[in-house]
Amino acid sequence: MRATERDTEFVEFVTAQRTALLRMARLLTAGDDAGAEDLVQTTLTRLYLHWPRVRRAGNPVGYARTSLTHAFVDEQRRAYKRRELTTDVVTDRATHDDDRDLPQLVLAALAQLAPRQRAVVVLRHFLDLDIAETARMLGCTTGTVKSQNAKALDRLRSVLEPEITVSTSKELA
Amino acid sequence: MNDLNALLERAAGPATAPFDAYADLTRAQRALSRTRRRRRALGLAGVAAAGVVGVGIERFSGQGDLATDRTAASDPTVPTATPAPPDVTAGPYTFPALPDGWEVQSARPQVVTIAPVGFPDQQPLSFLGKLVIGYDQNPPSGEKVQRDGRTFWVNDGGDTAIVSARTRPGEPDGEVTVQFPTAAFSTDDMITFLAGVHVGPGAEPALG
Repeated sequence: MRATERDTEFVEFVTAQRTALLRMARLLTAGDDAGAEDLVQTTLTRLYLHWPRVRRAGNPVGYARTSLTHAFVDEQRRAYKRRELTTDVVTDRATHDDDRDLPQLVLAALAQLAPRQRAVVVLRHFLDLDIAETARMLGCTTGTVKSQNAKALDRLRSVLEPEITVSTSKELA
Repeated sequence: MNDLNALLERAAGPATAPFDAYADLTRAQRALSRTRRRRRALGLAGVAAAGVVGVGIERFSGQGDLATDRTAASDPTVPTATPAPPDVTAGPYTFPALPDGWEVQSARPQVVTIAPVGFPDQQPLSFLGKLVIGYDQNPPSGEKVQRDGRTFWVNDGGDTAIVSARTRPGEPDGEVTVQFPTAAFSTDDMITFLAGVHVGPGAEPALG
């Protein structure tokens, strides 16, 4: 595979998918824009390094999403060690007076989830992946995905409700 | 009532935003150059080391040497043949060797989890960055690869990939799989590894 071909295909992929990856990263990082940008840059660089394999696999979007999820989990694991002595003061209950606050409230609620729970929420309820695919991307069992999903939804509701009522069709799935 | 998908769609931010794809390309090209320089340097160091030691070592390409001979001390009564390494048994699974520096973290009827010694994630059912042997009763799927008359299936998921094969006659009916981090092992090495995995009667299919 010639370098120019790799470059052309990579730029086409970035042009088509970067915004979608950044949105996914924004949710994973609970609205940390700089952290989201770092994750996307890391992911795209890994993608380019493995481009021949990505091409053979025929699913660059899936590859990028998996790589982004792994980069996030890895980063959170390292970050946890850095901040384990600090105490975060968090808001236990959401309040919102204006519909414009809604995205910030949702991001604040996501921030209160454990990283892997947040990843499950993003994969299942934002990307609409099924349980098996979510488990494969996170490298865990389907049972773990179900239990993490249930805990995450409970936590989101406890933070957002009654101001924002959360529904989902994937409650038990 | 708010659908969670709709809430997340709004929280994710605008669906269009300006960016420069060529900045990503430049960054990635630099990383590729660094990787190639590092590989060349490692390759030269490897050639030099092999010349000094003068022995061939069977190895996994990305990670370490296979733990090939953990029991045999030199025995003058057996001067010519190298004894076959003992199989590693973990729960109902046996396999020829562990990668050097890796250990069995957990052995269950459904899965065996193998991780680098001292790996920070000690959760036995957390598989990221680990080598996972499993058994299930799903039909194998993925890209087909033939090796020594046996069919293997490869599913490359990016940082993690899975190779699978139907179990042998006499083993529990189903498929045996190995999930592995692609940064540590090549698919080819993992097919070789999987070819040496035997599934015992105590294996139970993973659910889901």
